[in-house]
Amino acid sequence: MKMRKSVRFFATLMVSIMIVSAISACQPSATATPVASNPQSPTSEQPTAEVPAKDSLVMLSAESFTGAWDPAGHTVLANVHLEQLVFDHLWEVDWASGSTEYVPRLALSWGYLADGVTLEIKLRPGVKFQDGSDFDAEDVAATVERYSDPTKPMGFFWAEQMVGTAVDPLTVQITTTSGQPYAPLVNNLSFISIMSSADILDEAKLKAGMNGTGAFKFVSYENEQVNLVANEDYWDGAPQIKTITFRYVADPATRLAALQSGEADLIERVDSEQIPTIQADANLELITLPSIEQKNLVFKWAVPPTEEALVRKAISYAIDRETIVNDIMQGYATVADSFVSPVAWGYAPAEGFPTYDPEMAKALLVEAGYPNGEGLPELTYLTSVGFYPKTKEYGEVIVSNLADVGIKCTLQPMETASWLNALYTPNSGNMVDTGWMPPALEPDMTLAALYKNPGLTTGGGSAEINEALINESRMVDPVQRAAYLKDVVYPLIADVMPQLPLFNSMLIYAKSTTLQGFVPASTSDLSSIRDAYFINK
Amino acid sequence: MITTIVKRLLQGLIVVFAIMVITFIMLRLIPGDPSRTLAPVATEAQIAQLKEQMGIGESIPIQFWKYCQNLFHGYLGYSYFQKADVSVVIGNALPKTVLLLFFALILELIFGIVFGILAAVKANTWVDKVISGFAVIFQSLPNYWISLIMISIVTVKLHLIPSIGYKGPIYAVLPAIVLSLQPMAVLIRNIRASMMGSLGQSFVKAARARGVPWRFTLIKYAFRNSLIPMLTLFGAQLSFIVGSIVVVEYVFGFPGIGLQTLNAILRRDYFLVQGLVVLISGFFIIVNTAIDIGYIYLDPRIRKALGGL
Repeated sequence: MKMRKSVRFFATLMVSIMIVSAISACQPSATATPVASNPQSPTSEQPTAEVPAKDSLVMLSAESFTGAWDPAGHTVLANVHLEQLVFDHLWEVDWASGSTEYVPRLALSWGYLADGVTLEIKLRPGVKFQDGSDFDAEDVAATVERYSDPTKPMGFFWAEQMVGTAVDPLTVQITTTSGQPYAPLVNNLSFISIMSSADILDEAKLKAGMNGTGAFKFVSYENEQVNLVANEDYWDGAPQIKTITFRYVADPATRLAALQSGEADLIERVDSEQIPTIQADANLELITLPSIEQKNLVFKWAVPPTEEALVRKAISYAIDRETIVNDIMQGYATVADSFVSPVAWGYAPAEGFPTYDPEMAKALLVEAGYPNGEGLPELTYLTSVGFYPKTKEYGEVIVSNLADVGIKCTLQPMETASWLNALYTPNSGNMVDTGWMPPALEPDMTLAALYKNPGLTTGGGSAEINEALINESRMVDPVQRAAYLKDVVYPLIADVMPQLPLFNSMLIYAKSTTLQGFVPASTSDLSSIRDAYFINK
Repeated sequence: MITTIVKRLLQGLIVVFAIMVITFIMLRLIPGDPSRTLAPVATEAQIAQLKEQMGIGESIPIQFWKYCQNLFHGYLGYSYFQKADVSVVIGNALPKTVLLLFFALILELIFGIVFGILAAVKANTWVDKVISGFAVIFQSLPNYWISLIMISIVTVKLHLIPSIGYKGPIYAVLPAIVLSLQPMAVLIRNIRASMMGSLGQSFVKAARARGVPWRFTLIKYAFRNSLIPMLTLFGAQLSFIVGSIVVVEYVFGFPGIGLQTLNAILRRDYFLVQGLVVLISGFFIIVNTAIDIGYIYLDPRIRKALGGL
């Protein structure tokens, strides 16, 4: 009998476990959101054709959210993605058309007045914010002033404070404080999230959540997850997708597994190694497109010898970027040949941009007084791990390339927060790996941010570059401006090489084949989700 | 007994406070801070303003003094990244991790004990070889890899159990299995060794000679005698599991304490890290105290030394 008791004890425990597991399997959680349909036959009695397609989207974000709901108060891309759905733009690129011309959204038309400085915008009537208030010219004026406020993080992307004037409820004029023309204005206005002027005066409301005119309303943010719900009164028609869940999942393997298992419908920043898996799965679709992001090798001007132009150029000529793109990035990038991405407005290959030429690198070292690297101190190259793909791998290629021309260099991989700190510290090392993804096609979002003296991350530059950047930013005629960028600005920067653009990135998404209508944008804009929908298999 | 418990817990409180101080200072000394993570391209002036808003702009001693004042009032601080009080974030994550731990421990104990005893009883037979072989394999495999394999087979290929994220207790099953495998393997090997030692002892032989049934001898005599070293092992394993939770929750995207800890450290979410450190160190203090009490209960020699019977 005793023997049986012990056996019974174990048996009871085993059965208990099974029961607990079974019960838990049968109990949906109180906060459960609808689960994505798996590629299995529907269990319903109805024929497949009559089963309504799902209407809830789960997207996994590779970057974490911050809970900063004021669109002008942060520069975090994950939050910008949310704003693209909760707020509206004045105008935007219709990426489905293949053209980068702007199409009207909250604005019906826009154009410069005779002074060549003031931009007049005619607005769409009958639009309402999600809190029920009317949208009008005051909202646009207040939003533009807030975005261009130099004390706000988004003010970083503007050369000066703009002034907005509501001429009448549906006409607004935007001009500069200085009275000088500002060429980036139209491009800059394409990405701003139009806020309510009443909200702008109420900091508490701005902190509490997002209130836009967009296709989706903000519901909640908890556990690294943001929930949106369709705005049924949207001026452009209620979206077919009724709920969106954005969840932060840092691990690329987990993101892909979630997509494969139906827990997610759309994932971003797919690793190039995962591409064959996605291509082999009939339920998944791979989306790749050129990104506006460039990966840069930042030279720190405060740390000898990278303050010397000849040394910076020697390093630039020594790096085999073709190999990095083809072997390390597996072709999912293009070798940079200018200081903005080919996707950006005003792009042209830069005259004098360094190519892979070890002999030229050695000659430049001789000219700098460091033949075969003699007399050069050992350089430090800082790179992040776990943020950008393959940084350590191509970092090793760069170090080896530099050794080939006699430059000793130590690669120092760092976790993201430490690296971010180093990136913005003037004397943190000789070189730092980084990327730059502006939110719009405007070239000044890269040129003025990174190459104006002192550069945001390099701490260097030149008076000539500054003057050229001011000149081009005042050329409201696009043809004249593009020519000036190509003939003057890019060659000037190539002569100084404050930093080396390594390659132009590609955006790699993967989605369920049941999700239709999602059109990716080179700026990573997610606005097209408002027109997306699901189909049954 | 009560005096012992109170003494241990008081010592524990001092340890938790010391850990809290060290964490507080270390966090602020390592490079990187939450303001830069929140606004990467902000100017130095904007960063200073942001630090002021976040309560991290003053000197470390003043920050610590204010933190202690808040703690005294039961306030753990605010997470700017999660836009919620630290207590709310922990309150959301803790039940999920407790569930995960519970499942993992149950699995570990049941299968560890059963297979451990089985391997000892069937020593050097094919049964023992199979069990011991699997134990060695599971002990050696890294959690990150097992997690990915489990997800890919059980969730992605077979669609048996959902396992990414959390929408209900079923989502804890697969990560719990992964968490339990390594400690289970260690437990199997230890129980096997310990039981084989006990089975050769004279008191077990004497019991068998007196005609006590074999299985009763096994459980009542040999297994109970193996429990004291097992208890030490269990304490160490609990620490190991809590450590592994960070990796496993990360891979499964399981929104528990482990994932929160990792994200908080990577983002330099100071107040959340501090809150989690207090929670985790407090947990270890309680576990260690419980294990000490277990010794007293199980080992008559310790009990008598403390004046018990």
